[in-house]
Amino acid sequence: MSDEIERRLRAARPHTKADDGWAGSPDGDRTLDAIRRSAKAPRRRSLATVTRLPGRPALLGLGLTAAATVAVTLAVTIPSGSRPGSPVALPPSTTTHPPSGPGIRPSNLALVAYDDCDAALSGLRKHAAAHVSAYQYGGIAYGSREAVPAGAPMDSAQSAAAGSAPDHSTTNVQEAGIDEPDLVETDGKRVVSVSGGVLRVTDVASHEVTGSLDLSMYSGADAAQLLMSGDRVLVLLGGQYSGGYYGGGPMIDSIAPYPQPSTASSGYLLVDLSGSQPSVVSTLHAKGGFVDARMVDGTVRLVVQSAPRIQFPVPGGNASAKEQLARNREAVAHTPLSAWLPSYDVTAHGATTSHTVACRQVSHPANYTGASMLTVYTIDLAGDLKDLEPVSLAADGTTVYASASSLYVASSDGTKTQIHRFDISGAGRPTYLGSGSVPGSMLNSYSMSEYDGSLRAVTTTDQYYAKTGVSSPDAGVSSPNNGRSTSVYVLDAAKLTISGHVGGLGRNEQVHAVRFLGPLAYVVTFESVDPLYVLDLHDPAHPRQTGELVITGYSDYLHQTGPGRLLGVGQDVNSNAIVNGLQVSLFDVSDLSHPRRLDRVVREHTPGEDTLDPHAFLYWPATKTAVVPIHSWDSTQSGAVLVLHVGTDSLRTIGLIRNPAVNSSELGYNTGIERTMMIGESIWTMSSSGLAVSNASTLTRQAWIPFS
Amino acid sequence: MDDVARHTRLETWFRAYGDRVLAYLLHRTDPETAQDVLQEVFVIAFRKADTVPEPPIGWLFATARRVLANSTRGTRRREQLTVRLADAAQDRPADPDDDVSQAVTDTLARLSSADREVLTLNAWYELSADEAAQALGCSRSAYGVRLHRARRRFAEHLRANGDQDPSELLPEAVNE
Repeated sequence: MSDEIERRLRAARPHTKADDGWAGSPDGDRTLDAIRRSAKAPRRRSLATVTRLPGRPALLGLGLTAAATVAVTLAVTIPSGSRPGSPVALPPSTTTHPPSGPGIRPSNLALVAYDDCDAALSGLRKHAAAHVSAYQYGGIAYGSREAVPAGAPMDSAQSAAAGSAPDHSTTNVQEAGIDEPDLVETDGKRVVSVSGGVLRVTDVASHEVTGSLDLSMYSGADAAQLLMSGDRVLVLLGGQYSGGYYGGGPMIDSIAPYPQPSTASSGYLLVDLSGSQPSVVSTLHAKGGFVDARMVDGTVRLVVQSAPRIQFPVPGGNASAKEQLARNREAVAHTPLSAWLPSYDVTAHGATTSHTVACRQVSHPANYTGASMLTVYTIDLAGDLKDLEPVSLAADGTTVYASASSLYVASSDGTKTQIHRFDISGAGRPTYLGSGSVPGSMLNSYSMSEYDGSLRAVTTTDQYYAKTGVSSPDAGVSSPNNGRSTSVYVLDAAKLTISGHVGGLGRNEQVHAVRFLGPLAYVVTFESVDPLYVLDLHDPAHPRQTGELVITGYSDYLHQTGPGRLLGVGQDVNSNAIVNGLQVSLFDVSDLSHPRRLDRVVREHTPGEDTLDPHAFLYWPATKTAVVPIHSWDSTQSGAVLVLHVGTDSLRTIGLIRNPAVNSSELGYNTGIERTMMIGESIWTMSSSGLAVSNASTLTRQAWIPFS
Repeated sequence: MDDVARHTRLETWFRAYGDRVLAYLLHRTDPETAQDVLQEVFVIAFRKADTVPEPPIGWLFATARRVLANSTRGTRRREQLTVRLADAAQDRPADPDDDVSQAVTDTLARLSSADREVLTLNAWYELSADEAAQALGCSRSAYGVRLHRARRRFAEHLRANGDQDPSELLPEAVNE
């Protein structure tokens, strides 16, 4: 009956490499081998975080060469006498915004900024041309946008809610007081959530949805996240495509043979909650993809990564590589500055204004390999997006970590990780403080921590990758001896130089979890058994490994539940090295040299391949309650959460909370319980279908608030 | 089930269905994530070989959807089919059918992700109704209803999008 529709749909199907007998091709053979190896030796194939352990930047498709080679290294503008590897002094143009924190700006490091637009253009062009290849027709792509799950010890309420709000948690964050974008926020009186492209305000007392805002006209609404302060919410939409209408996320490569330069962009909405219904105050539409954001005291630092938009000629049939290279360089030489300078539009009060980051606000590390531009926007949630005070750095960025005064943006090229530091201690424009580099690649933002003047970083080096430069087809699949090794580095935060390090952790293993607690660090690596390493970093020059605990299974996430107590959430693995199910372990780490496991709870036959998003975990110290998401393979069933009481020496299962399943006609699959919060005496669990409120002691359901 | 049997099944399934699962993923995420998710799907299939139904295609797609949803939530790369379509539409070389294909891809991009999923499972990856229902985790009759509605919305959007001869499409879709 619907033959015509079928015919048209089929005709529109984009061709892929999988369409030509791929499963039987050599590439398919390699993939099958990788699957076999992976199937035999279970390890977390955590897609969100670790599979690209070698840190291969996700430079995709035809743009690959471009991205890898158009390292717009700006050494040309560096004055003589500068030392490679450290930022060098340049004209005072960017020193107009000194760091407000005393002693933060290292005296021996000044900034590498452009004097003026002419200098910026010639520098950017020169380095693009120097690194362009003959096969550059894909436009310049940029590195992986993998954002990093964040989360962690949230101690107790830290929101702006007035006195009448019940004691409540936020969702889990890495550093107390540093808020991370998430699917749901609460101030104890109301719960603001975004799910299925709709922002909803739910009144805690009445369990009623009191306001909603359909965001579905904005692209990326499906993947939106929130930051909240007072009556204001910043909605971070997923990526957008600016090709005439909004799409999903920015794509670097394309199915089509000759993709044009990326027009990736991302959108942000400032929403006011003070009226009877939430309303959009103003919008920001930035060129480039969203990397991550952090909020301190109502001020959001938003990190966006954009690619230079260079239009390379389509390769001619007979052009030699040399000719093609010349043509590509020619293209670079004619590319205007606007192709590099990050730009953004702000819509407020019905009017849209377009802005470009000023040349003088563009810096670059002295020695770097990035092909992208990172821009840090500053958003005061109480304002109207009028002055975003952007600063740009010619660098790549995938992982964002912040302390109260510093914002770190890191990216890895597979063999080393570049870390860029911005001062965010003032409320205004951040200041780029400098960059440093450590060998290896990072797991996620939990791999970084600032403490007492030091930045600590956990990285893994991979000899296979170093040797071959490729991790495919073995991405995330280690051979028995892959030369993998993990180190903890302690850097002087002021100079970003390495003070000391401990190496040789987890040989041939993969990092699963990192947790810094004060001067101590805990690292979990895994291949077939799980070593939990304890490291003492008191002396930055002489960090040392003090203890190691080897058990079966592993932890994906570590959380401090009391003095000398660490809760590990991960997977139990049986003697045949097959994942058995969810495992929660309680460790005694009070003796630095003898960590031991006190107790554990295992849920057999739960999906074992999921990475725990730390945002989905909750620990509520007041009642010593831990809540851990459990997924289900049955897509008709909603997932559940496991509620545990964490005693001093033992774990007790309180029970499970399950949200009603989604009406399958809407989503088609159930995503399980995505977030949990504690408000007053109740546990609030959010799934894509709605919010359930349960008694925290008995787990009896008190209310069900469907999202439809 | 012993290891040999598991390996045999793994290879059989991979050779028979790996193409379609990969194509599905490549249409929705970047090639790296697609490759990672594909591997993960078959690793899970290997481990659960004794409980995976035969033929496994619906199960493989259901698992791919789930793993993809989990993998992309953290990285905010969810639902990129829209962009891929937009890219494809923009970059497709001119040919006589160009306008038609453009309209179709534009229209698909405007539909809800659920509608897109229903329409493409059938048309792009050749899943039967039973298999598609399994992939979506719904009953076959629910799938039928959803497909019917998605087709109707597709036809309506296509008409709104300036399709030159919608009259042929609409009654067909609605009367199905």
